[in-house]
Amino acid sequence: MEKVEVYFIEEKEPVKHRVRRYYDLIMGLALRDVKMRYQLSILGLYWAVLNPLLMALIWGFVFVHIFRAQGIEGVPYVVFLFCGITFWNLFSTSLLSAANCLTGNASLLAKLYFPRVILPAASVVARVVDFGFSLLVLIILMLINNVSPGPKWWWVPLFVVIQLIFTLGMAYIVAALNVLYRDVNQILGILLMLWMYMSPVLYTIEQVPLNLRKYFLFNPIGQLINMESSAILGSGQVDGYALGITAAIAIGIYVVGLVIFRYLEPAFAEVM
Amino acid sequence: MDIIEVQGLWKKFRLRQDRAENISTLFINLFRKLPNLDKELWALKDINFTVQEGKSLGIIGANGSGKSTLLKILTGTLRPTRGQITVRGRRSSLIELGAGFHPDFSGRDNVYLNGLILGMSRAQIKKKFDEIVAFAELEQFIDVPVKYYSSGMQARLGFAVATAVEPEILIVDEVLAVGDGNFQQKCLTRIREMQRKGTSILLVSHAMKEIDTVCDEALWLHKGEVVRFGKAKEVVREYQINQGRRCAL
Repeated sequence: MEKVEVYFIEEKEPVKHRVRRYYDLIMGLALRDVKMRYQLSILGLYWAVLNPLLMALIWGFVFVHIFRAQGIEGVPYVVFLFCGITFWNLFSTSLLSAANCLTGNASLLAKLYFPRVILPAASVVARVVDFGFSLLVLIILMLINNVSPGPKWWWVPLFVVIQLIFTLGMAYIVAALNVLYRDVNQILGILLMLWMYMSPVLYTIEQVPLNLRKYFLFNPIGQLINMESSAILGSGQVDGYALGITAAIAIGIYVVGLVIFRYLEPAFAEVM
Repeated sequence: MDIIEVQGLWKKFRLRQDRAENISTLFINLFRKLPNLDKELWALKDINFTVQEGKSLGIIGANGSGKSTLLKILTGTLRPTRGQITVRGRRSSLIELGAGFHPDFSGRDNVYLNGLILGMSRAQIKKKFDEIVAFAELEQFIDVPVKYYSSGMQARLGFAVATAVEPEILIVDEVLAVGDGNFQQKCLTRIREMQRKGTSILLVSHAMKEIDTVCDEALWLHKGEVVRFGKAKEVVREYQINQGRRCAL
């Protein structure tokens, strides 16, 4: 009865050409996103560096002088903290902007057709640009404080790739759900705060009591931040078992996210 | 060969009284059985038509007859509730003035972004950029933010980008009405040129003259149903007679 068949047949386009087009579109949208945030400010792109730097100063003051917190041994706490925040922000700001990527482009979605999966991907890519600047600040902080990178720092790109896969999967889920229930946007900030405190950003995983530590295995983003910080600043012993589980969860979430997104996609133009 | 085939197309919209099903209604519903307040609206009922390669179709009808819904389904942004659709060829659409334009960005940035969204690659846009700007007659203003453009300037730029895609099917929804006579003439010339190269145009318009000059065939919709489908001239004439009768009454 409810039979629906929709075919859009286009001339066979070489896969290479199609990939190129989608790549251009993702980059174009990401660039727009980055530009949009800095366009009307006097300091422009400097904010991308200033923001994390100021944040590190404030947090550093509170945690070093008041809480007297300890990070990785032999590394000033501010540097440790900033390292954690850099990687955490890549995750959290990606999700926050992905939540609005569909609802914020409602007029586009209702009028033009292009693969919708591109929008969340573009908002994650835009945050990678911020992440790059934050990384730059981290390097400056390390130079100032005379911290040399750990012997295993070259593992970091792999960790970041796993993190991006996980982030993208989550971004699909958050973006799609937020179209149907705007509550997602409201609760996301609080959930992310909770998530950050449950991840080794302000503390190292070694400081967690043993009876709690086993639960940390199921927090992929926490695991990744731990591995990233320890590879950059510490000894960087890679725990193959934890890495395997984290990678498996990341890929699982990516697939689940994509499935949810595709399932809800027909509803997007309708409810907006 | 048929470039567009539509068979038994139905589209239902749910008119929700209260869009977000919020917690309190959910809660109330637990205790008493409320009648479902959602109303259904069939925006399109059993639409059938085909368009042959290289032919152009005009869609006419009063407000709320389902014209734009039909275009959106053919563009791919809406999914039908029932029915079969086959569209063969590269589509480009000009559905609303400045859809996809970002007001804070320059015309240049917007040309690139809009072109990417419509399916061009960066290299293709670069190659066509000068031509697009020249057609829109915006050489002096291309680096000015689009928010300072007049609606005519926006319409010109939008039209220039959408046609630069070189689509096999160009979907146009009443955007030509915005510009002045000069611009409309220019657009019509461009459309004719594209038609000569084999592009099919799908045009929604209230300007019967436009439908008459651009389209080979016309589809007259009323409240989601097809009233007439046939040669543009005949359908337009009947439509006008019908309109005239209604005005006289």
